[in-house]
Amino acid sequence: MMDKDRLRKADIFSGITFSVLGLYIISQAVKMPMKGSWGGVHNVWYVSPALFPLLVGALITLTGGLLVRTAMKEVGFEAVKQVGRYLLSPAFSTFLKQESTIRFYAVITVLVSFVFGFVPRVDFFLSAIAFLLVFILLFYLEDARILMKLFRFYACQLLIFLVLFLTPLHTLLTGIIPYPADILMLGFILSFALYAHGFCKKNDLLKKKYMTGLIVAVIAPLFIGICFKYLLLVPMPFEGMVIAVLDYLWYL
Amino acid sequence: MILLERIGSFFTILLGLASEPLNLAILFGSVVMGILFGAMPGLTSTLGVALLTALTYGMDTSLAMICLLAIYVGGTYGGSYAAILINIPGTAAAAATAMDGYPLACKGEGGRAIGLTTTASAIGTIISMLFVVSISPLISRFALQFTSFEFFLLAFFGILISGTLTSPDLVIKGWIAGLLGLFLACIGRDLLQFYPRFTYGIPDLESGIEVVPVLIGAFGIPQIIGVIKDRFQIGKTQKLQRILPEIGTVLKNIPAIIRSALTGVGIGAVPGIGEDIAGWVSYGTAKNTSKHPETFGKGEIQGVIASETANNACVGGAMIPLLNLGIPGSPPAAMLLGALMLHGVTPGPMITFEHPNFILEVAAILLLASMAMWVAGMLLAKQVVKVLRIPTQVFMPVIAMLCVIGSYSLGLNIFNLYLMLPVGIICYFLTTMGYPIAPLVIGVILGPMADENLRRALMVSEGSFLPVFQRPVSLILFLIIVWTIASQLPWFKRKLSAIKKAVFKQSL
Amino acid sequence: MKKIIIASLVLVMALAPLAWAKKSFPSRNITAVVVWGAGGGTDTCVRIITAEMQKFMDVNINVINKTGGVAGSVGMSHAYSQKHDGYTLCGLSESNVTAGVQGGWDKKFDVWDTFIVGGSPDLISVTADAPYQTIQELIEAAKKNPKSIKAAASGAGSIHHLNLLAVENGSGAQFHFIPYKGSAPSQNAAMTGEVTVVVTSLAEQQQLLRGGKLRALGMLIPDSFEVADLGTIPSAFDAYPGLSKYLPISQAIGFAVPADVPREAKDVLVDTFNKAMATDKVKTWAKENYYLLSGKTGAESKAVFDALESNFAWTLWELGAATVSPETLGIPKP
Repeated sequence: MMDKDRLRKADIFSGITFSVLGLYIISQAVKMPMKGSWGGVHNVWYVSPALFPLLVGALITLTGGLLVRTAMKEVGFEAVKQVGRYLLSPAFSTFLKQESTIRFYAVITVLVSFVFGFVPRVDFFLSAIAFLLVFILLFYLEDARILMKLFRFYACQLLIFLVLFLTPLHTLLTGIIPYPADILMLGFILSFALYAHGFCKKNDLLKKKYMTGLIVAVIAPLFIGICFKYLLLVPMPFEGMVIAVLDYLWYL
Repeated sequence: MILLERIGSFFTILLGLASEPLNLAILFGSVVMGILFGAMPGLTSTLGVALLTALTYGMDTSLAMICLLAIYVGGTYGGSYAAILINIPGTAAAAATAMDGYPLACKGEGGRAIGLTTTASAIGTIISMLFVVSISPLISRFALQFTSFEFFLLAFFGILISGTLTSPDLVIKGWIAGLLGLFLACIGRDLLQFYPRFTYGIPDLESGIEVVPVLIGAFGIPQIIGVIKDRFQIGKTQKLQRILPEIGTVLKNIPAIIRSALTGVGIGAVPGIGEDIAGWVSYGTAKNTSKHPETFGKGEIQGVIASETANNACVGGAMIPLLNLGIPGSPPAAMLLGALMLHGVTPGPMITFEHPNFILEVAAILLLASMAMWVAGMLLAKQVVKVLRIPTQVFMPVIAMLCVIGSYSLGLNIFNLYLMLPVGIICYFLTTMGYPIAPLVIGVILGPMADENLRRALMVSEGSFLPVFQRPVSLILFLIIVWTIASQLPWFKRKLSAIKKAVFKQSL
Repeated sequence: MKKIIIASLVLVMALAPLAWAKKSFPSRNITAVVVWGAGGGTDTCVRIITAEMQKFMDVNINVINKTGGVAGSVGMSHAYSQKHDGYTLCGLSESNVTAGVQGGWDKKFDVWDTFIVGGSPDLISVTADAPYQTIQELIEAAKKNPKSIKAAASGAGSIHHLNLLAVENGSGAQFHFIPYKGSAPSQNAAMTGEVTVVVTSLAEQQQLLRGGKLRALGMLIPDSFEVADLGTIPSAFDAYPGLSKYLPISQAIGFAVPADVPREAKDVLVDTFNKAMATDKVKTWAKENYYLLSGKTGAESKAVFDALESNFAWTLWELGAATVSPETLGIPKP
């Protein structure tokens, strides 16, 4: 949480955002059926599906407005100008480039690529191993220079992945070889591990951290995944190459 | 007479449960797992119950209840380890414990503090269990007073009060968070007429927003982002010495323990708010009534006892509305509700008719779980701390993976993941801006209840609001809501203090 | 460590093709995807029947729940998107036939080959303190003051709502319909006195009936029904023969496979299904839970689902609760 003065400044902006959201909710709700029969229920204003969204929308607009008023009273209009000036000043662009902000981008990228990119398309074991490997090595080595390099490398890999799925390439490949995405992911894991190893081999501490990361990244998904898939009978989000093999071994 | 009979059947059930070795094995296993969950930052008892719900699938109802309640009790207690030893509350419930626990640990009294909280937590759970046994039938009868109007007001009150109490900054921000939750709850086909609202033609949204991914996203993701971004370093673990607590200190604090337990039960019984708030309120009361309020925050053993007793007593308190009204009293209780329905038990006013012994069974399990928790706590305290020595940068990614598989495995719907992550990222920004997260989640849980019951109530009364004032329960609820809102208005606060002053002068 | 990882990866690559090797049906575990929530009627029913079926096969049948969408469309789409090889069953019930007209499913229901286990019959009941002792008294009172008596059933387009509508159409009475989220909340509402009449299935209502909290007035099937500790519940058809034009609309719980599953796999499933239906376990379970067993497969069950589909689809369309016209899906009028 921020300090009080900055909180109030943020409140002005979040309050306005929420008020706008509230107005949007109201604008959508008035389009809902208000009278006539719907679903076997005789419709009057108090039965309408619009009633509750209208109420919620109105309350959000109101509370958002009140928040803006409270914050304005405390810091005044001058604060809005200050924020505006800050956003244009070089101090802001330094903030965008400072290490903790870069770490923030990296966490978000890793999470988003895992959830929206890998989980629905690649074998769960492979995607989880890749996710953990990248996530752990990016931050655990605790070196801003390595973080930047690894992050760039990962971004390139993501680009290749995007090309595979946004073009007809994937459908084309599926006809020729089995599990093209899984094989690509395997390549990603190996190349990322090798690339990261390059930074670690000269330093004993980094070497140790690298090994820990590698072991956790492989063991944790296997352990959790096998528990869920075979003991709890929860099918994995996407079952590809590794699961086909495990299935074969399990039902041997 | 009826009470004696109930106590008799209570002990029969208790012995029946305890004589089964499998039950005991599951009980201890689950308690230990719960403690581990509680002690690990980012994993809460809510998540523990959520993950285990999928696991208890194939078990029969009573075994599943043992498993889930034990996780719940253990998880609520486990949060105190991390709070005391390293100043990071393992769960939100233990946030108040850290206030005095960590200073105690710094003074080298960490072992003593843990020993005392273990005992206090066990006593808290047992007291709340007594309430479940003795007051539940009364509340069941009372529950038949609840028609659609009351349910609407209750849901509304739950959101309002959680917004009021949890807000770390301005109260109005808590309300906004609750309203955002209510908005999320509107998404999907409406329950009465099946009209699609805010679905934008996306078929996955038709059945509405699921609670579990919102819950996991809202609590887990901000924690993961925050810890990694700010490079949070967990400090060196303190040395633990004596774990067994001194009987003398426990006896001396009995009045404080009982008061905290009552606070916990009361807050747990209010639908929608839970352990985290119970800890704070009890801590606040202890500080206000103490003869030496200045020692609080500097290692006052009473502060630790107050919050820990209350948050564990809350478990039993939360069971009362859950079992009798079908309304979850806290987020983990919301998960329990889902788990119960999975096993074909629908809690609500009918439970005493449909499953007459179920409430007693829950009470018996609570008692067993609190005893198991005490034993496990005494044995585990030294070992459990070692888990926290895993570096956060290795730990958090694994937790992130758990969050993903956790929100997927209930419902087996990948769409839940697409929901969890954006909710989590938005909640991260909301947290940094001083908005509490709990009301948002509670809004999502109680939203459908508020919406459906408001409209149905008006349908039954044919558009009239008059029944609100004619029915005693709804009138009381209505007045409480008005009071809660009014007490936040500045002019009302001024009036109130003026009245207080006048009364004070006269009595002088 | 690296060597171990590489070695295991090589093993994975080498074994992958083997996993496709074909054997006779069923050579591996079968998955049953239940489109309704765990613990509900459909879920329990499917779990019971598959547990009995797997005793006659060498493999297990794993039951999973995949809920959500419109009328279970998420689970249905998932089951249909799997290979049509008989290894994926879809646990469903009569309510799923509405997925089409509600815009969650773009096919007619006969893309499925269904196996019907059975269902619990619906009945109409009133609260214990209501003045109506027989179905005639209730209907006559409702006719005298149309829309004055409050009647609860689960939400628009559910099987219980359709049954209530059929009662209204067949008898000429009109109730004030109050929708609830499911059967349990509608029964709770009757207990609190919010509504007077409630329509749910016998399985859901039996505890309250036996506990004297509700009074059964009539079964919505042609035959009367025997309930332990309660005696015989008469059929509503006895008093109002006109009902037979609209009723019965019965539950049909069971599972389905895509219709184009290979012949040999389907034969094995039909055979084991019939064997399972004949077991004592299934029979006792049905009796204890007030289910009427059906056991229909193939053309017989297709006829049942066709009738349900046209009834549900057109009723919803007329109520204005459907988004897709039944005509565009090729569903005939009942």
